[in-house]
Amino acid sequence: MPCKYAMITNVISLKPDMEAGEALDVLHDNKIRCAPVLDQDGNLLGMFSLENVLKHLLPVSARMEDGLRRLDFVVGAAPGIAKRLRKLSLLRLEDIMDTKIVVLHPDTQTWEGIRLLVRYGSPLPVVEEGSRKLCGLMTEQSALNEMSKSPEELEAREIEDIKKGAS
Amino acid sequence: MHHSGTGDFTSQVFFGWDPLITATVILVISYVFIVSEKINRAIVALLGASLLVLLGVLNQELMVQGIDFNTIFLLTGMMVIVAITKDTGVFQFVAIMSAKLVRANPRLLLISLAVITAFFSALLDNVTTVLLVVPITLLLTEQLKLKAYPFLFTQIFASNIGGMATLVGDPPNILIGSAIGFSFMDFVYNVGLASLIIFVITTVIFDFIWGRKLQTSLRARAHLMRYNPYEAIEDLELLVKSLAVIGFVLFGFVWGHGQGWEPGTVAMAGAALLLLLKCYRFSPEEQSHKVHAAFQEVEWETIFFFIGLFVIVYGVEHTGLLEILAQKMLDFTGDDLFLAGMFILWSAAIISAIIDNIPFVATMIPLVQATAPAFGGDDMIEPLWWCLSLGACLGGNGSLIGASANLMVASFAQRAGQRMVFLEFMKLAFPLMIFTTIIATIYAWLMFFR
Repeated sequence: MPCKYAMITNVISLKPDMEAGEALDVLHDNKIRCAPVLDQDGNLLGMFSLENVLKHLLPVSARMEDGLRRLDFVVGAAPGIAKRLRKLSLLRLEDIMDTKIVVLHPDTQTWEGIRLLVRYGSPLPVVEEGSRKLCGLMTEQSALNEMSKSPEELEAREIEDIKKGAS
Repeated sequence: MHHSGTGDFTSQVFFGWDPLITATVILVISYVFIVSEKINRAIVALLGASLLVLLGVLNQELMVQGIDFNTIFLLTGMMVIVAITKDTGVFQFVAIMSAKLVRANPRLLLISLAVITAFFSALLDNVTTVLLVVPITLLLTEQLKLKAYPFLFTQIFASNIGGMATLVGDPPNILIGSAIGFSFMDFVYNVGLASLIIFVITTVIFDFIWGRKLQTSLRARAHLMRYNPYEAIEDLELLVKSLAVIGFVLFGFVWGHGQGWEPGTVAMAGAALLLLLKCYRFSPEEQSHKVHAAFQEVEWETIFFFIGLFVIVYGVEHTGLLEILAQKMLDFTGDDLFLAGMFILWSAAIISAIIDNIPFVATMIPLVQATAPAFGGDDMIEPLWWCLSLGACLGGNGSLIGASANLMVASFAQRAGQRMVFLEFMKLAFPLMIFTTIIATIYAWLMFFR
């Protein structure tokens, strides 16, 4: 049961030269909170998410490594935070997207996929080994769907695969 | 010195190599790798130390004798105490409180953060101090829409100068104090005043260069004034315990010296006491978890670097190289103690600006000790130790790589997107370092040699 069966393939993707504001609209219109950023050939460059934007709104001292662990002494919103958000929305995705991401490969076993999903959060991109061409996204929902398939269904699919391989 | 009495072991190096040359080659190669930073310094030091023993310059018994466990215990104990104390949020509290006390005035904030950095550096390790002060500085400057550079520059100087004031403030002082047996107060009496004078003068200079020109909006200041420092305190009970233990440790350093308490024992006792106070009410499993977490915060890389370094220097000392070098220095300075003091002060300052001052001081200690007979005994050369301390601590300001704390500040600046450029830093820092060393020269002459 590799990951290629446990992913969604109709993925909404973004381009690296898009502005963050534009990308936020795409996320909003499609009721999603995260989307992969792909180059012209469909290779994965990074992930852009609402969390990304929020992270960039935080003071840099709180989001850097070994930075402040708490901000509860900061009372009230920082002045000009709306302005900062507007400025942020003009940034290109390649400057703001998350590039350190955990990826799966189509033939990663689903158990390993679920372990990573639980550890690093959903969704995880599934990319071809080497080229990083995006094949789909493994989400909590798609993983559960795969898990809830009956043995008969799985067996049928296996037979189907063998037939394909033989032809 | 703690490891006097070298035993009757005679080095017998493999292949019949000369022990002196073998040890020298290992020392030089280790130095080259430590300075080049191509390979982690702890790995280099441990490999060098192992080679000395494996090749037969030292045996394992001598190797263990060479390690100054007083220093190791002092460093480890203080690291555990700081690891627990910093979780209480007291450092953020002090920084925010001071920002509010100066009513978020950027010029005064520059000064107050420098004072805090210098004060904490005197009581804690410099790297730890900047690790605590720099993130909050970055937050405050971001809120006030100010460049962090003047603040970070000032804090580098404050940490190195403040660290000079006490036995535990800076690794060179720990090394010197431990090897010679100086007390906490010996440092305060002999170099504390120099530290204070130099701190005040450099702070005035920084105020002139940057402080008086810092501008921010009233709106940003008003926002900062709404910060609630009391929220920064995460665990009041633990804070009280931590402060009590730190008080006990300081008392142990000051009073215990007369009772034969070594600082390493005091720091370790403090660490154990604080762990007890933190853990005693929890289940064994939770206790184990908490103790484990505290020990994990110890910078083992530094500790093992020191261990390896002690062995390498001891190996070189054992073969007699350092006595030869000491003789060379004496040939140069003659029996003029002042000249020897200045030679040590200035070479320490210049060399510490270029390389890490820890290996330098570790090597200098036995070397300076070897000059004692020429000057009429251990008591006579006491001023030389203060010169070494002044030079090594002040020299650390000369460049971004002069001290570990500088590197830590630079790495934070980089993470915050405000990179500190090596040459730009040096353009101001190196002349300033020379200037502070001149002050130290005058100070030393007035205090020790007149």
